[in-house]
Amino acid sequence: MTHSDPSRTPTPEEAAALVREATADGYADTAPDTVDQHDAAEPIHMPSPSVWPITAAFGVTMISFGVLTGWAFGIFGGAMLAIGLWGWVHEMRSDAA
Amino acid sequence: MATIADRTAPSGGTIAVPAASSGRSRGVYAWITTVDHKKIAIMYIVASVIFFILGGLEAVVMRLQLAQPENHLVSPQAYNELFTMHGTTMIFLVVMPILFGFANYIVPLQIGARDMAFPKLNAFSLWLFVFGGILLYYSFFAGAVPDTGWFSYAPLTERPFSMGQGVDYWILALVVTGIGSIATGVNLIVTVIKLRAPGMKPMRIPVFTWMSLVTGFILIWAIPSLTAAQAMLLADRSLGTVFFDESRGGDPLLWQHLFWFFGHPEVYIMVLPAFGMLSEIIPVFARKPIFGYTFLVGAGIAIAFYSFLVWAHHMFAVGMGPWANAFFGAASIIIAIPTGIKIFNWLGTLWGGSIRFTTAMNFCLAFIAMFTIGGVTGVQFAMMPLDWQLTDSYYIVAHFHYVLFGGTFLGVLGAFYYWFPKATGRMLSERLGKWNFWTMFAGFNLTFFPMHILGLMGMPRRVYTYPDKPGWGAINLLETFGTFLIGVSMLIFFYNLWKSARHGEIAGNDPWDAWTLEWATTSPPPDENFPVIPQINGPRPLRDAKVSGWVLFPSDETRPPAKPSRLDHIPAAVLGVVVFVSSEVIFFGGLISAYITYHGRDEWPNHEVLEVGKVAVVTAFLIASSVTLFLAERALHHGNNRGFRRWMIVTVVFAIIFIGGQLAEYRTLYNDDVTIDRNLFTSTFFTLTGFHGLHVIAGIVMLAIATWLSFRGELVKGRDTSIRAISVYWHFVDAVWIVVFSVIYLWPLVA
Repeated sequence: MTHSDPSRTPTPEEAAALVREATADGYADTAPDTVDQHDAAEPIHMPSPSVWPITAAFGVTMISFGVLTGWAFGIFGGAMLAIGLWGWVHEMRSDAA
Repeated sequence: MATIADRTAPSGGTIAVPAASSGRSRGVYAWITTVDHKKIAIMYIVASVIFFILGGLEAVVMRLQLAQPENHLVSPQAYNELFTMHGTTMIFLVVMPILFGFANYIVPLQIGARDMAFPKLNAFSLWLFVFGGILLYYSFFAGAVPDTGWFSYAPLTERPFSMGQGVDYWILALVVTGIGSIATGVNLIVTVIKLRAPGMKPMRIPVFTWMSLVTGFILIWAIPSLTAAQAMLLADRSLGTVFFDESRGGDPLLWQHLFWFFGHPEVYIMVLPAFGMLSEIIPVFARKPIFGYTFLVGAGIAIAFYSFLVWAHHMFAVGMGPWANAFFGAASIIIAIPTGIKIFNWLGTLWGGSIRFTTAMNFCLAFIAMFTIGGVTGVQFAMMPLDWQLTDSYYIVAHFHYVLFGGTFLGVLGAFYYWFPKATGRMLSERLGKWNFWTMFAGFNLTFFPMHILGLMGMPRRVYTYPDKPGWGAINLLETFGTFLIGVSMLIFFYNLWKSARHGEIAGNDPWDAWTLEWATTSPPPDENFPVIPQINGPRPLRDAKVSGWVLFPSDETRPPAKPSRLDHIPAAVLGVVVFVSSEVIFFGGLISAYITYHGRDEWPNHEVLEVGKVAVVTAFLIASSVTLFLAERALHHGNNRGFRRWMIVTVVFAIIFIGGQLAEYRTLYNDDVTIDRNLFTSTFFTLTGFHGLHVIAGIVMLAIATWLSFRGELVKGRDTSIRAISVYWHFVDAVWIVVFSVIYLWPLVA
């Protein structure tokens, strides 16, 4: 039982049963009545994992730690922040290319 | 994208997602590098739960200490540390981040988006919270635990009264988490504004998402006030400035104003998302649409507005004068009106509904009752005579725990039971849930309700022990018993999480027969959330699909044409920077207000040491740099890359001239022995201009990178979002300087 033709309106009971069935389990089963069938879906580009946000955040934290403990940690934190931001910018360039 | 795996989408098309088969993206590495909003949300929640355990243990030790009069289980110093860490932990490391976690998970799903607007910034925010929390708790190992309360009032926090580094740990850890919170606010705002599915007009946005959006605005406008105050306090402690040092003319009350300008909106940062949770859960389990949606949303916005006008009701006891007291008292009464509207919205939703008493619903119903008690006692504090009697007593402790525990925390537990199936694919046990609920309800009331009585009897808060007055010992013992009942309840909850995640009943995609979009995908959702971006036709899109056959996921051919929005032409990055600079306005506003507050109090050195003429010249260069940047943008818009690069170089040179001029002024002043620690003028002058200078330097770096990208052919017409975003920032930095220059250099001339 599908509802691929959007012009046809199922009865409320029929539709509710269809969607409950369709959204019951598994991604592949999500679609029949709530998704139009079509062949040429655009590829979905999800953002890639990145190590740079955690690197930059660690750098910010180490700068703070350096204020508390000594300049060496602060310089280390600054370097980590710079590396993190540089990698971040580099990834943005790659994504844009 | 480094690696792509294609898989068949339900529509028959292909979905390109980062491959999970790569060795790099498995296990711990996959979690620490993820930018997926759902995984980030889970990490927010897990980390918050860990900090909750720490903060909870601190509360248990405090209650053991208070279980009987004249007790000496812990020392006064240890008790100070315990209540400071308990409050700081629960507010900054538990409630805020756990709400960020829920918002991260639910908001993109509810608006039909694939992720947050800025996924990497989202990860950055998470890790700042985690590392900031670790930094705060490292203070235990460093032997310098914060001990001045979560509000860290000056002058107690000034160096002479707090010689150790505890206050410094408190400041710096919260600055780290604060940066992350502002970034989260920016992300939430841009996500909701820019990434809503087609057809999701403002009045179709689910209430939880609405409240998350409003919370985002409060975050970006409240936290900078705390950050500015912390910068001043750190300067006092580290550089010898005198912002809050009364012995040298500073004013400790300035700390209280700046802190509570943050602190009261902070209450709503912690409550509004919970309001949103209730507004999702109650309709589903009452089988009715939310009652008075428009008023509910409007009340949330009104609360956000008024939250910035009531801060000084925390300061009635300092003696601000009748007019200030009257204003803040009246505003505090008024803010109860939109809050009361929400209570009636929920009651109206329940009225005539087919109520299902699930555990999630039980927690929401308990929220309404408990939060109302907390709200009523809150309104009482708007009346000055009562506030003067009750302030700093256990009545206050009872009040804010009824708001944040009886309110927010019970709401969060309800949200766990409601959305856990979506995130894990399994149901939490309802049987254990009922045990969890009733033990929590009983434990909470046993712990906190008697505090009202103790407060009325005169027991002060923040004391490590108390005399054996009639009834005090028995009531305190009862509260300690209640605390252990809460502990038992939480153990049941954790066991339920652990057991149900492994063996819970399979949830399916829509176990509650709900109406919002998060239930229109799998449990848990796939990386991309939805097969195609949904099309919305009403405030309850999944119900539309179920009842009227609305096609949620249309093909391109059948999708209605999108209606253009006025915001369409503003890229997300540009909007993000606009939102961010609005946050910076508050930060600089705090520093400028400190300068204005202290202006004219010093005989020498004061503004007369400044060389207005020289600074006016470099100011002209800075203002000119805004013009040259505008010309650079215009050149790029016309496809003139050489012209763009030329104007960009001129902009950078002008900016460097400005910074050079500022450094030269600093050198001259220091040679004349006008140093930052001399007096109020030098404290405010160097701090304000120094922070502005740091912003200029950051801007120069960004402008230089943009110029370099242009030389590499990566910044051209059509790919110019980055320079548009940088441009907004740069013009803002220039505008701030115009204000700073006017206040510091021109105002004395005019006066």
